[in-house]
Amino acid sequence: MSLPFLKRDLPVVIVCVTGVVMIIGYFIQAPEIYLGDILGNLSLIASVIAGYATILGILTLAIVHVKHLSKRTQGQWMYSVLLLALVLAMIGVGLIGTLGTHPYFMWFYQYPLVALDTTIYSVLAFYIASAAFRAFKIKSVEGLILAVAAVFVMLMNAPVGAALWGGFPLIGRWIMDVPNGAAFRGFIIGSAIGAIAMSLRVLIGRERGILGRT
Amino acid sequence: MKGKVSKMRSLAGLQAIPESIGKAAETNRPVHYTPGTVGFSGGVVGYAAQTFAGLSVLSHVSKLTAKYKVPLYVTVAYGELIPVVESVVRESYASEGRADAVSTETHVLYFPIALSNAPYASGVLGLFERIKPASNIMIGGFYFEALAISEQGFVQGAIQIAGTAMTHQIAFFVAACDYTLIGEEIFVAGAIVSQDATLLGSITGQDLLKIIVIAMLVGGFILQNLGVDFLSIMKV
Repeated sequence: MSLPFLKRDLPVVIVCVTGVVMIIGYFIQAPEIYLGDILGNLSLIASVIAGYATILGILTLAIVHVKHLSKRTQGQWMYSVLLLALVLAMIGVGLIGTLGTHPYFMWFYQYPLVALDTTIYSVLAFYIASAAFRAFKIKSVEGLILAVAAVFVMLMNAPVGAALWGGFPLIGRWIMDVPNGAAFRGFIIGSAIGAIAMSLRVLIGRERGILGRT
Repeated sequence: MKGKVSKMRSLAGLQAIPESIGKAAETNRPVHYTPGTVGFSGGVVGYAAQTFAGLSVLSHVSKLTAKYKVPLYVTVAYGELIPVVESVVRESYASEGRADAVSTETHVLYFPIALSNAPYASGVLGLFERIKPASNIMIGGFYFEALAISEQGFVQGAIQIAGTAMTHQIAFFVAACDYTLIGEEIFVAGAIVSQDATLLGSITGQDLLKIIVIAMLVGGFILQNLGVDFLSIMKV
């Protein structure tokens, strides 16, 4: 097989064949076209590839940070030391005894990792406040509609809204169910059709941008 | 319709991409790009399509960064995206005759997802503090990190172009970014920038399908109210 075929056409052939098999298996439920085992194996192959890809990712990450460390990149290398040390520590304690069950591993998981994770998540409250401050500036008719709708929806969700006036929850719910619901459905229908068209272009090898081709 | 390419409306977000990369070249600051944080195997149908859409636009963006000699940082949340992103960037730079610049001007960074997308978000937030991007382009599927990253991009003064089909993140992008590609627009973005007749034709097909769906919705509504059980007919 020539190199251009291996580089250009083989990935498209693999994507097309596996994609078509998965589609047939999903949509056609006939006993004479039983693809259960093939579908299961394809899903398993995808999981194995994703597993190896994670190892590749960790290696890439390690290479990037070892480079920072060896070059003593200003403002970066000390974080690289910390990252590499923590990655090695996490892998080390994870390998003790039965995979991922040792108390040391659980401590690393429960205290530093969960705490850091929730910290980043909680910072979102401040980002929402700053984004909302800009979004709700009334500069146009659309901005006014947005701000008024937002006030009703916020008062629907906050207990003080119902305490002030019983109409706030009703109007807020109507905004969410009717105009918002209608827009959401239109959005979802359009997105779903777009996703199907995109997937078909990928399956038949027409979407060349994903392989960097023009 | 044979032999005729339908006229496409322009998307402000796509038109702003060269401008934002031009600004990066003028200010000598880098461009950040992410194809989303849902990878190829999300739990919901359409997630992988969003990642493909992100990669398709990356091809266009990386050609422009190669042309303007602007450093490009691509951040990914899944290991399987690394070789794909590297391939897209390498091919784009090669097509601009700058294959030698890939190792010096482009950086594919992996910030893995753990319990949630927080490690990816914190990695990108830290990166923004260090590189101070002039342009932040985010096309793909996103979760809560969408707002965190775009707000940090705003703080850094970057021109921000974002797009997703994730219903709950669109509002954040609209609030925090300069330009937003909404829902299906991300799926046509790659076709529009490529100006490939076949791909543009598929967008026309997409629109025809939308018209059929809308007609079925309206027709179904009328028939159902006239006592014809349209829903049961559709289930067959």
